[in-house]
Amino acid sequence: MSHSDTDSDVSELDQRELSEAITSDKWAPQLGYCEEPETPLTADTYPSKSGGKPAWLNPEHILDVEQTTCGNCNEPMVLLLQLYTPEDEPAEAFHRAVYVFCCKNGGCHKQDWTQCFKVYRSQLPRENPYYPPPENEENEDDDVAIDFTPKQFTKPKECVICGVAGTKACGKCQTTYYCSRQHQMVDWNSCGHKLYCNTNDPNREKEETKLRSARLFSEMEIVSEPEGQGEDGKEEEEQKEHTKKESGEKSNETALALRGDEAYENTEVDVDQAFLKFQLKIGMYPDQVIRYERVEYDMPDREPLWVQQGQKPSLVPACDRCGGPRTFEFQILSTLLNYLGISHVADDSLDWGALYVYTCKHNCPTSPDVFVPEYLWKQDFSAEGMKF
Amino acid sequence: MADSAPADRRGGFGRGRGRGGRGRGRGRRGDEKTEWVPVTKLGRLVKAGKIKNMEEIYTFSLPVKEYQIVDYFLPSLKDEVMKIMPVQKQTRAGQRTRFKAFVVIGDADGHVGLGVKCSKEVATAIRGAIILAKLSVIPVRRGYWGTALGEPHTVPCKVTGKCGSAMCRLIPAPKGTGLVAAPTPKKVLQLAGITDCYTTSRGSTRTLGNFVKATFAAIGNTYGFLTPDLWTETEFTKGPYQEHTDFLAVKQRK
Repeated sequence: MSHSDTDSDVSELDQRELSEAITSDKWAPQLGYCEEPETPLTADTYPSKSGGKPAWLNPEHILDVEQTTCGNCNEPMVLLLQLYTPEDEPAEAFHRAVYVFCCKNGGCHKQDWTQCFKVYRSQLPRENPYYPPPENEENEDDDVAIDFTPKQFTKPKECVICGVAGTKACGKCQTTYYCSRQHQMVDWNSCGHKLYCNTNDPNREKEETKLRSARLFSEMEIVSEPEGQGEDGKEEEEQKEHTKKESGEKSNETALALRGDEAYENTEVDVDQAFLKFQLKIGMYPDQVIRYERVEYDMPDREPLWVQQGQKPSLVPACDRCGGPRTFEFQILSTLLNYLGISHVADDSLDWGALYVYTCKHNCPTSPDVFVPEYLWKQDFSAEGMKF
Repeated sequence: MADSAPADRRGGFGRGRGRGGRGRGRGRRGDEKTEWVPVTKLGRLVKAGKIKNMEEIYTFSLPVKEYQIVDYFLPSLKDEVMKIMPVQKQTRAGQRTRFKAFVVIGDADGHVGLGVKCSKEVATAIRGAIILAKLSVIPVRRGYWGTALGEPHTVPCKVTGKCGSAMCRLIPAPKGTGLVAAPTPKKVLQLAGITDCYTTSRGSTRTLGNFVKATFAAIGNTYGFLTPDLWTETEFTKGPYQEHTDFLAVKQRK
């Protein structure tokens, strides 16, 4: 919106945007909400979750700590969230997951946030060695015996703290695995391994899991629903229908006239237009945490819901595998911070306006690797408040 | 029409049909409206109770982007719709009319806010203006005309505010004078909590938008004026984001 629009009115959309608002219902984004998990979030349930340890889609090959190390502080990162985003085409993306890792140290984000987030995409075809192919809906009546035996492989050791590949083991008991020296120290000092190493204490399991999970973000399941019109939206629609019926064909041309100087002495309110639009959208469903935009095939590339006018990504890099473009897939809102179980009081506590994840448009095959890095952009809220 | 998304899409991300995740639990419908989920960091601090009152936010000039923060500290705010003004824009198909709402909000005890919103429906404009008014709440400094006896009742000194050509000047008045003002600034001063005041205005006060903003600016200047009792040097305190850092650092080391 140019600055000549001094009324800061969000509902003053021009014709193109207005028609987009009406047709966008067909492509209404999926909103994600955080809820307490109903069933344990294991990999075979294909979960979408925030916090906790990653539930690896591909159980044989998991991430190494080198791929999840913060570029600023060199500490291993923790899982922020993972989404299970299956596709119907291409065939190798039948099962698909996106993992977002984040450095827990808020100071690193203040320093250089580009080093503090890592996004990985992992996918599996329908016929894969790990999970039986799901039943086809048409064949529900037929009793087709599924001839599937999962592949036998040695399950890779996972770090007991963060869940990535545990290549190092505790020197004393040789049965507890870690990804890095830092996590070994943390487990020894703060998670009670010093006390419990090589003991058979009955409380050991409970205490250790409690202390270890405190090092990660709180684990919640992310459930989703398409965006509707909200309570106010429905009310406004009804009102509009009502007034249209009442006024009929009568136009308003003669009813109201411009009154002298009043039309020109417009008051100005200096608030970021993009933020007002953001608030309007969020206000319909205030507890949403994810906005997932890729809801249909052959839909135009959509702009994310920005939280401020500035600080937009200048150039989203192309996919390094296939060279194809990366398009916007989903955004993580700041409301997620309420569900992570972190403290917000410190000056350098974790904070963002929104995180935008851009992934390869064509979901190119990941082989020979299992994980493909993708792109994330962070936007903060603008530092301005209301001005008069 | 309400759930306008395609019928076969319930829960789950991604474009795979019928797979991937469940929808929301059904039992939560009731408290959807009442629960405030903060979006900004300040909102989170307020919800957690780390900020004691509005004055802390003013001291550090923290931008307030969520109106629920103001609701939390000042639940007794009263709003007053000053005017609904139809404004028109010329389009090829005739004129497009929208309604501009001016809302002044205040708790008659030192806080006042002004919101202006334009919208196609009157109700939407008023609702939006109330929210903008809440976001713009500022503190009002009150003082005495003569002896400092009882509660402050008037502006501390002569202050003035200007917007467009409308200028409004507030002058301290003795107790019992009441508000000597035109109806428009009178309402604003009442909501601000000023009981006695002389006013003078100049310029085109018929333009209500500018006149109200001029009064609002004048009231805002009460805290911007350096009076002799503020001459003592202030000790800078730590902001709400920094205050508790030391406390937390100690806690984590345990």
